[in-house]
Amino acid sequence: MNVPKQTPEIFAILSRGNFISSNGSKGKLFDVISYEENYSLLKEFFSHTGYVLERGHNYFYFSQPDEQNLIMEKKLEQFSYYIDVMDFFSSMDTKPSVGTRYRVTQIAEECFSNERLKMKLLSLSRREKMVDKVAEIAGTLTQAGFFEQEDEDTYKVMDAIHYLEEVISLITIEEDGEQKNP
Amino acid sequence: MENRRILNRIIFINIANTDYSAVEIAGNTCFVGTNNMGKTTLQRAILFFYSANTRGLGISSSQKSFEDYYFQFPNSYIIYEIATEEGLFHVMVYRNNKLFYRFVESEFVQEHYISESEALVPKAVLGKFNENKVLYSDQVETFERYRNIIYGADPDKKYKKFGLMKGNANYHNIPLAITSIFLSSESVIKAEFVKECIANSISSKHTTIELKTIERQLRQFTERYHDIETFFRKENAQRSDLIRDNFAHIQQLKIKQRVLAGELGGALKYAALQKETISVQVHEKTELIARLEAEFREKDEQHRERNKESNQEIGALKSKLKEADKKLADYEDKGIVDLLREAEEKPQLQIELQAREHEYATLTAGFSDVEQQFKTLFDALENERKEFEHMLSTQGLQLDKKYHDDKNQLRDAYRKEESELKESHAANAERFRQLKTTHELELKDAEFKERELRTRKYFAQEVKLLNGHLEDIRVRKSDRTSALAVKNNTIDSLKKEGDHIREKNRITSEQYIEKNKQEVVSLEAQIAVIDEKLAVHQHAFFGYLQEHYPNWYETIGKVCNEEILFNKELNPKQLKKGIESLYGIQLDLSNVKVYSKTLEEYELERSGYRDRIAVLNQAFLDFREEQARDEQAKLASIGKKTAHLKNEIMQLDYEANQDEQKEKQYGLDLHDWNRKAEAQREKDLIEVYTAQETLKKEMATVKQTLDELQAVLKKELSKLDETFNDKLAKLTKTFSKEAEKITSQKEDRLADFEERKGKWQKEKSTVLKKKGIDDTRIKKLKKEIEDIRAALQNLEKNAELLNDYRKDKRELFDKVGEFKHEKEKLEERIRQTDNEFSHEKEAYTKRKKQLDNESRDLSGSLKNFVDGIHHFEQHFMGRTLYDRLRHLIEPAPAEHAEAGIIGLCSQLLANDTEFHNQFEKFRDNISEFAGRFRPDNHLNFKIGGTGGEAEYERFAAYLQEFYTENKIQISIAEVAKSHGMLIDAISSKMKALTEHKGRINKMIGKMEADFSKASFEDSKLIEYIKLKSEDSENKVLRKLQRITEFREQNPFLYGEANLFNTNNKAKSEIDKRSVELLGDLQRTINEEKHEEIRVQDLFELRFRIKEGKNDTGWIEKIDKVGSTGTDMLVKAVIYITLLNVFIKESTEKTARNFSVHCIIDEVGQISAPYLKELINFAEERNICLINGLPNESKLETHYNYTYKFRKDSNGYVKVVPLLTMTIEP
Repeated sequence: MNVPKQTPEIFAILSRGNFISSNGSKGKLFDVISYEENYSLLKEFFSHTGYVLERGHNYFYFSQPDEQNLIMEKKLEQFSYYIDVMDFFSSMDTKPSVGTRYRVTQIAEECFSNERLKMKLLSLSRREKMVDKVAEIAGTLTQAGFFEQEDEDTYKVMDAIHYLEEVISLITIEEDGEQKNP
Repeated sequence: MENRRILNRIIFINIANTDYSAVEIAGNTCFVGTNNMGKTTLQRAILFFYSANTRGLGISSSQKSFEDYYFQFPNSYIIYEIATEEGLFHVMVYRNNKLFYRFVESEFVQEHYISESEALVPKAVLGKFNENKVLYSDQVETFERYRNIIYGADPDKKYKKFGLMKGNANYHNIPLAITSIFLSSESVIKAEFVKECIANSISSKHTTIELKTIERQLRQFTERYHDIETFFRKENAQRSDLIRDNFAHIQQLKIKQRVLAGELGGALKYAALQKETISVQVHEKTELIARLEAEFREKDEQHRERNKESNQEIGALKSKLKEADKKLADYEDKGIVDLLREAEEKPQLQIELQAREHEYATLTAGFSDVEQQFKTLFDALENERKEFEHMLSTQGLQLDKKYHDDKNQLRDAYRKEESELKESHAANAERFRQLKTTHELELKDAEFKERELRTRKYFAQEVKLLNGHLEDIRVRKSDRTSALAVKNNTIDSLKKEGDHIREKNRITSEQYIEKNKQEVVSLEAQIAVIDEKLAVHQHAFFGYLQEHYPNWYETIGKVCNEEILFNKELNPKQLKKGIESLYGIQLDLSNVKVYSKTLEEYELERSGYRDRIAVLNQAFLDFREEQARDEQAKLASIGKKTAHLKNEIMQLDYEANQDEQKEKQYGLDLHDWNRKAEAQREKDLIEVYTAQETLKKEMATVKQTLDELQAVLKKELSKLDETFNDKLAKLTKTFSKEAEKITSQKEDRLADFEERKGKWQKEKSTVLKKKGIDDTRIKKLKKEIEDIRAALQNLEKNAELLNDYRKDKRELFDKVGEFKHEKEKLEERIRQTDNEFSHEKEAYTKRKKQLDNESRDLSGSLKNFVDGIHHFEQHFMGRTLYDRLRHLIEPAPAEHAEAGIIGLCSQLLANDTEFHNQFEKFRDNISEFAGRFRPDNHLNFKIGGTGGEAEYERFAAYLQEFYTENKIQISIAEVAKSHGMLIDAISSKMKALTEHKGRINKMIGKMEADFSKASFEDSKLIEYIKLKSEDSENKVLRKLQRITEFREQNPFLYGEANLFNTNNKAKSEIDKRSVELLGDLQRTINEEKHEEIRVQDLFELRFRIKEGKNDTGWIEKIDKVGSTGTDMLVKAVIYITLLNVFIKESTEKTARNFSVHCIIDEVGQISAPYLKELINFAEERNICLINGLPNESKLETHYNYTYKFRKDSNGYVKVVPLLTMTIEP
């Protein structure tokens, strides 16, 4: 099997639960995976490691079919946090569409002038300063691969944000009001 | 007198802590003195003579500066006295704020400087010189100038005599080497140091490659390259298309919104105006209708009133007729006919009664006189006849009169009736004729209207407006067609112009490249020739001469050509020295030019060629840059124009499209209006036709009525005639009958009288004859009288009835016909008024219906306007959209809008919703597009901090402009240029750097050769010192070399105008490779963290020293070679060798007639024999050592001069010579 030379780098990123987005600094890796037969080749290659290489809209990630319930629960917990974060960003003037650049100070300023946003932010982080709160949630999204930090103050929304959007769109609210994730 | 040039003496006057010291140093010199006695101060001053650089003297930054420490007073001087073959001169250094030099053409004379134990100020010193006619130079103000003079490199000939040596352009190496040796206090000699010395000796600062700059340029290039690469990504191209589509859509929506807002504003104002106007009109119509109704009601009332009278009259007539009928029946029941007949006989009866009574009286009164009797009888009879005749004639007269009266009455009645009939008919006929005339006029009107309708232009205003629009569109269309043709032609010609420019540039470029290439090739060939010569020169005759025959240029060089000089097979041998003859023949070669060139000249020539190649390369780059810039400028201008034109064409296309749609719409509208017009015409014509038909019918009816009336008149007249004639005939008949009756009565009575007369005659005769009386006769008479009396009595009894009858007859029965006629007339009048009224009613109904319709239409319009305004106020004004469009809605002029206010509001809201939907997509696309580029990408695809609607639109407009002006091409050209320039810069810098490689190797070779001579044959201390160079291990250098190689391999192919051209596969491979190489280089620079690549990075240097049994092997640094002394010795040997080599390299290749000093401090640990050997080693190389020793020892005996430092009672340092100038053998 003639896998691309960037395979270890790809594996290192994806196996940490991160995404490879086409619009990020690792865009070259995205191109490598997308190039001709590489996707199927790598999918096959990685299948031996227990990971399944998945393709989203302009992003790649690993999924694990057999996961322990505990890990899944943790992931769900994490996901509920992401939903709140997405809710926070979606309430802003600039919606978190792919490629959008956020400046921490700018978000903090908006929170100062928007009480609703401020309340949402308060519930998301326990840091003291507004700027630190914003930086914390932006950092969390960056760690997960949904954002990318471009400089000290600027974060860019990655293609992987589609993953969050898709999963959120899959949530159905049943009649008794209980939320369920299919 | 020295036979060489050397720094002979150094004199301190008021320098540092010395008031005056003069130290002779024209040989190996040793300074002995404990620490802090001023050894180093003096050594530094000596170094300053060679380096003339106050900073490179090893004075730390915490110490006083050289100027401040040495030159504390205005009369502080350092005097350097130089010995030459011709004598002595000296250099005075003094300070006047900064340091200055003066060259003085005499030995140092203390009196010139010190007078009465006091040092003079420079001005006074110059005065002294003048006094003593000592020549001195101008004030030399810069160190550089001083160095040039000392090292014999000053172009001014008058300073030539002050040169210590004849240095070349690289003389700087000498002071550098001396300084380096002095400053190199480290105990370890690192290859780096030697490398640096070599580098310094052969290169200037300009040859180093600043990696920071290169890295910055590379980063800039790769970032820009990446930007362009990102731009060309398929998804970005698609997204930019989407953005532009979105933008166009949004713009259209905005335009539509503005138009709709304007229309809405206009419609609102129009509605407000119309609301008032229509309200007034509606009110007027309502009033009109009310008035019409009132008028009609009044007429109805009048009509009713009129009919009521007639009806009443008819009722009265009817009752009269009824009464007449009833009375007549009563009279008939009472036998009025018989009674009337009997009444008519009454006078006859009365006469009859009188006659009978008379007869009876006569008969009964006497029989006496029969004659008398009979006479009386006869007289009575005659009287009776006469009376009867008279009565009859009276009766006849009465009858005749009655007849005539009746006849006249009848005629009068007839006339009256006839005239009445005629009058009535004339009135009716007149009315109908008037009606007929009215109808005729109406018909004419209708016909005129019909004609008018047939020619009328319906909806002329709308049609005219539409036709105007269509005409405008047609005009615009033709204008546009010509404008499009012009623009397309312009684009074509611009394209051709562009092609022409490109083609012209390509040809020029090719020609230039070809020419450049040829020149480079020829220069390289010449270089190769020189290289070849230089490669073999050592083994050829040339090499032999260089080595064994100094100044051979002046002799052999003038008679040998290069072929002989570089021939390796001549095996030259010098048979005898000093004979200047050619195969025994002496030649005067003073006027013969030198054929051969010196090694330096060859090198100079070669470097000249190289310089020329560099110039050519630079020229090529400049040319290409200039050409590229020029081409870009021209193409950009063309592109801009083209883009502008394309934009205009697009605009025209858009307008054409819009116009086409409008034309269709207008066409449809026009068709619609025409259809409506035709429908309206048809409807109107039908109405007119209907009216005409109605009128015709009515006219026919009127005519018929007139005819009927005529007929009726005729009939009635004939009937009247008939009645009249009947009545007349009846009257005449009655009259005739009466007359006849009277005549017959007369005849009867006359006959009766005649008969009675006869009878009476007979009776008289009888009586006369018989005289007797007859009673039967009396009785009969009596009965007749009684009957007559009974009849008269009966007549009297019925006289009242007859009177009543006669009255009734006169008042009623005779007027029945009149009554009937009257009744009929009245009934006819009622019919006529009814008829008239029905016409009026019809007209009223029609008018009312029309007014109702008009009023309804107006109310409908009013309702529309009111509803529209209400809708606007209730459902639109409260929205933010209204606030946004207020500036457009409010100032719009009043205008009717087909869609209506509600429709416009709905359209605006729908438009706004569509706008927001589109804008969301638009914003997302822009975010995604811009997000793919670096935040500070050079293509400027950035969304500003505010990120508002305007910012996204600005972005799209910029993107549009970017595409239309094809700015990417400019960017590509710039990047390609920077790419080419980068590669060229790297390549040329590398070339400049690697040019030194030969010299490095040569220098290393020379050093090695020099080291081989330093074997210290006497002591055999050092077996050998070896030096070798290896290829550099510097990774950055390797990458740079790869780029240079790449440049060599593809001299004219790489980095041309378009780096992103995929049409030429071979070229695109080359471009790709070059970009990769640059990327590699950038990465390596970042990883390695070198700041620059210098000459010393070109090679690695290795030492190998064998001392006794110690062999260091190939090492990079000489740390410890044997004992301390040995170590020091070895290092000193290396230093001296280096200096020697540098001097050789930096001075003209003439017989060396100068010495320099090598200052090495602290040499106390070297053993005496080794020191001696070292001194010899230096001396062989015309280098005098200046060493420092802390303490006196036997070592100082090996020096030509030894000085001891001590302080006098004033604390001034004194330098005292220790030994005489004798050197131990």
